[in-house]
Amino acid sequence: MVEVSMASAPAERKSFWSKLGPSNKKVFPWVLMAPTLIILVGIGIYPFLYALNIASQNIILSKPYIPRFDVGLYQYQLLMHDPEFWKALRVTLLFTIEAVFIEFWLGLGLALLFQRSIRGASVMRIFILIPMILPPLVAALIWRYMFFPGAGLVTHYVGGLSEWLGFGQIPFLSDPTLALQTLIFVDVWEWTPFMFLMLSAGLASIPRQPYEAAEIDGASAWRVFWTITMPLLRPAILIAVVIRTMDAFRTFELIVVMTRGGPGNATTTLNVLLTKTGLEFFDASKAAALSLLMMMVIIVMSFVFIRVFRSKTEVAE
Amino acid sequence: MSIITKYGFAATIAASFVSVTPVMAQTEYQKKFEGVELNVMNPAFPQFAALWKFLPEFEEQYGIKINVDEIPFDQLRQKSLVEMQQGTGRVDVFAVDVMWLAEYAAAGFLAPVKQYVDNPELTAEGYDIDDFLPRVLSGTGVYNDTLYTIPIGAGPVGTTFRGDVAEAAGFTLPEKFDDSFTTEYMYEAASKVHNPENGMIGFANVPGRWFWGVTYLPYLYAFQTPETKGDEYVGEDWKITINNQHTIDSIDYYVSLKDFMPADSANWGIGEATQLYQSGGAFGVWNYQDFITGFFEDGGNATINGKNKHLHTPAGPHGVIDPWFGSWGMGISVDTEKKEAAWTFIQWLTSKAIQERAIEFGAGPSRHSTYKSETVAEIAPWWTDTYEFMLTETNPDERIRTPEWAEISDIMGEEGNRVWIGEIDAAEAAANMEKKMTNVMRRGGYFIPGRTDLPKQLWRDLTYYDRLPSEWN
Amino acid sequence: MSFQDLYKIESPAAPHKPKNWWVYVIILLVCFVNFMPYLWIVMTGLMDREAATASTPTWFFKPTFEAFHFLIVEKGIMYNFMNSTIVAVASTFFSVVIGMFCAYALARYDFTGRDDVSFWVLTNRMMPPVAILLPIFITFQTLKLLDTRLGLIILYTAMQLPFVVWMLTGYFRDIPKRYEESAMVDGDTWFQAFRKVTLPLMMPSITATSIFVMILSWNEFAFATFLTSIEAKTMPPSIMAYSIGASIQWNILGAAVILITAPLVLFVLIMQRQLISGLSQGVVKE
Repeated sequence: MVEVSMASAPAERKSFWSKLGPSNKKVFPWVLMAPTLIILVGIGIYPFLYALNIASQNIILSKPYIPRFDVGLYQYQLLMHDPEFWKALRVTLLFTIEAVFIEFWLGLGLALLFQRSIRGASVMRIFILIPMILPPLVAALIWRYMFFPGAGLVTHYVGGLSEWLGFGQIPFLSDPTLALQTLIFVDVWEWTPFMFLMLSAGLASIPRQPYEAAEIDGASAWRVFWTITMPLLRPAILIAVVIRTMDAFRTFELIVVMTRGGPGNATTTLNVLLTKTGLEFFDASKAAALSLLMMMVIIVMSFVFIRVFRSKTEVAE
Repeated sequence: MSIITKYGFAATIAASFVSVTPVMAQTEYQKKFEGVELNVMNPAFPQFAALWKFLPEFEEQYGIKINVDEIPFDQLRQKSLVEMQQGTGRVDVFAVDVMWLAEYAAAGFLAPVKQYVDNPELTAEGYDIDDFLPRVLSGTGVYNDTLYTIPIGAGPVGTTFRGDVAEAAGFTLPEKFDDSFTTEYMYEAASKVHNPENGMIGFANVPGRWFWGVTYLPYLYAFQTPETKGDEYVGEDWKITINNQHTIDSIDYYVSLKDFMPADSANWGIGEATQLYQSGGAFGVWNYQDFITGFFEDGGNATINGKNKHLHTPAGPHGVIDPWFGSWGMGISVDTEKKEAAWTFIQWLTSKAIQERAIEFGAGPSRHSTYKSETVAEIAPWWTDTYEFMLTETNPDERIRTPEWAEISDIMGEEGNRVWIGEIDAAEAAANMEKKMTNVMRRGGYFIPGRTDLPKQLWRDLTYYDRLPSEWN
Repeated sequence: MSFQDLYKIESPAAPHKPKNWWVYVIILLVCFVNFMPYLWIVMTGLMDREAATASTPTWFFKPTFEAFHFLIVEKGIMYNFMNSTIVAVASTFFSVVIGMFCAYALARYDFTGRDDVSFWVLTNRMMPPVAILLPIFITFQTLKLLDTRLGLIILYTAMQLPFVVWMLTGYFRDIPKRYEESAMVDGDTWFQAFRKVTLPLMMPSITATSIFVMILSWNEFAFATFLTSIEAKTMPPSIMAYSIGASIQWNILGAAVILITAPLVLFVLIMQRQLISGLSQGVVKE
């Protein structure tokens, strides 16, 4: 709609196509963006409308014989009164925030270390990047193997050490509290390299002058870090943290392979609950309502991040 | 004689036996299927792998190409239902676990097969549908008096123990199932050999919350009294009855097996437990009859092959034995246009000759003739032991035949697993189960006042399933 | 070693300071933790079944290709490997080429609703796969795209676009506009200036972004599981079915892991310099 109204704006008589050309500063960006937007609308909007529509009904896909009717906001109400939903929301938020927080600081610390001149840095970087290259499915399977009794390295060596010290085997995936922490550990293992990579890149692009000025002023390293490095790193932090938060929020393979939401429901995140509702019980309406609620949570989270980081970068520029 | 040479010997017998069995003839009518391609969706299980070894023969004889899509068991129902409810018709033949039949059939996702069985153009002359054990065939494939799937093998779940380990500890396990094998006996036997320092645990259980519907259930049944049989989950009015002392006792017993388990085992599935047993690290483990060859007697694992005792699950304190009925059947998608070709494939796959030859590689019997054959007696004697049981004792509705089974099973698993990790006690779990299952049944429409068309509770009179196979619709 | 040392910042151009041994200790420890699990599963892939099912870790064994034989000869997994390659390469190419122009527009032009468009693009990455699985399935069914490589290529292209757009927008912003403008003053059209001036400067960043996108597409599991079955099945669902379908076979899993990760690990090994320099906007700075 925007395209149409703007395309008719220029007064001079030109062919339709040249009106869309680079000389038209108002329309041309939309022309450049058109393929992306068309694809995203095609793939993105329909699922969204579909979910919106389904969520207002009572459709169980595996039971087509159940009469279907409009239930309005009933599915959302049902979720709001479902302790399972709140528990899953808590687990998801804890998982996401804790994992991304740890990944960010570890990744930043590592990136700072690599700022020093290090012999063999490029070889070591590959070793560090390995977990990120693995398919999430494979990473999860590997850790299931690591925690497997007997030949699993963690059970054998870490557990062996703990037994030798008299603490007995550690129930990494069997204790409700510990299980979530174990999953967070694996997520940190897998994605700290991503943070490391993005933040390394961010650090490398910071110009040198501010540091020289700080050195002349005799500022402490601590002050330099907070007043120069962090502000200038903001764009890199924004993109790394937003992307990681979105992905951690909908972590799928890791949990499905390692605990499938157990023990009990200790690691049942919203995404696991959604999978169970939608693909085990085929309660499409409840699943749709749940996915829309999840979407709202993650949009709010991303929006906050973007607000916090972006407004200040633009001032800094 | 080592088990491997014994198998080799038996295979020779089987081969010579089969060579005199007439190969099923392709009818004139079936010639028109030449060039057709069929898509089959099945779990990545050993009994299917055994059958697929014969696919080249089928393709050559009928000119039909079979594409096998092997799916991890965890995803099979999800993936089947996505295809089914969208009516894609892309999958022609589905492997159907007995506990899913009600759901698939009630929704009309499967095509009735009787018309094909009766069609001499499509079914080979020697097919003989009445050769199937009545209860096995109807238990696997009948819903609402209509036949939907043909069983490729059926059997109880049970337990497998290391006979040699028991001998070394100074006791002898029962040869096959008998009444002396009780829950108490099992716990004591496991205690005797339990020695984790030397890498041998008493029993590798399967407490993961997704598995209780197949691993805990035998104990739920074993702990009933003869009077409460039939009322395990629901009463005659479909009101949930699971909140009772038998359930609590059975959960307590099942969780007591935790005494033998490593600290970090609350999520264990069948895979983990089996793997530990295969590596010689456990004295006993859960089994399903159809997995025995593939998991425990495949001739490639010297640690355990030939040393196992394959028993039933133990009898409970009141002498009740779990009437487990496990089975996979092959059904035709209602949306495919290649139903006749699909049936041609199924009748070949379940024919006498193929069934008997596939035993060697780990498939199971579902026909009288296979059960009684020398091949089975020689290669897989544990089948012979269960023939009478499958004929008269087994209860095809142990996992009650309702479309709600997936949810019921999930509820039992979640609550049971919480007892396992010590979050709640068995009494609270039983109460929660009742509450949640009641909600599920209510949503399923069972409690609508004045409803008269509620499903029949066939497990209360199992003679229903003893009808001759050819008599179904 | 003090806490302040840890955060001492050096710009790449800063003079080299004496090296501290504890930096090496930390980095080597991280290398060990990150690499060990992978090395262990790779070793398991070369074990025979007995070694792989042993009740304690086996460090010395006679390597065998038993598991590879099972996967390649018996299961024909190389067909899935080919599917994965085609889908990953094609979707990477399309998402980068299409997303590039969108990123350029967002970086270069100040138009009403720019921030909204940019955020909306990102929201497309937020829906959990399970939530959009069914509608995508229905769309694919209508368009006859189920179980086709083309379908997966289109889907992955769309899935990676938000990431491409967000990554590249920042980098385009860093290239001074005047380079292009001076080229256009010299008589080049917009597209010629873009191709001759901007694109070469962007190449390192585009390469780095492509590597990321390639990794994400190659590794995708949830959609591949439900949208493909026989014709277009990619590696992740296949290894799931073959290695832990029934009983868990660690050595087969190990071999599968080697097959699925080898191309990407090699690729990143070769491209790592471009990856870092591209991500750090290895373009002309003032």
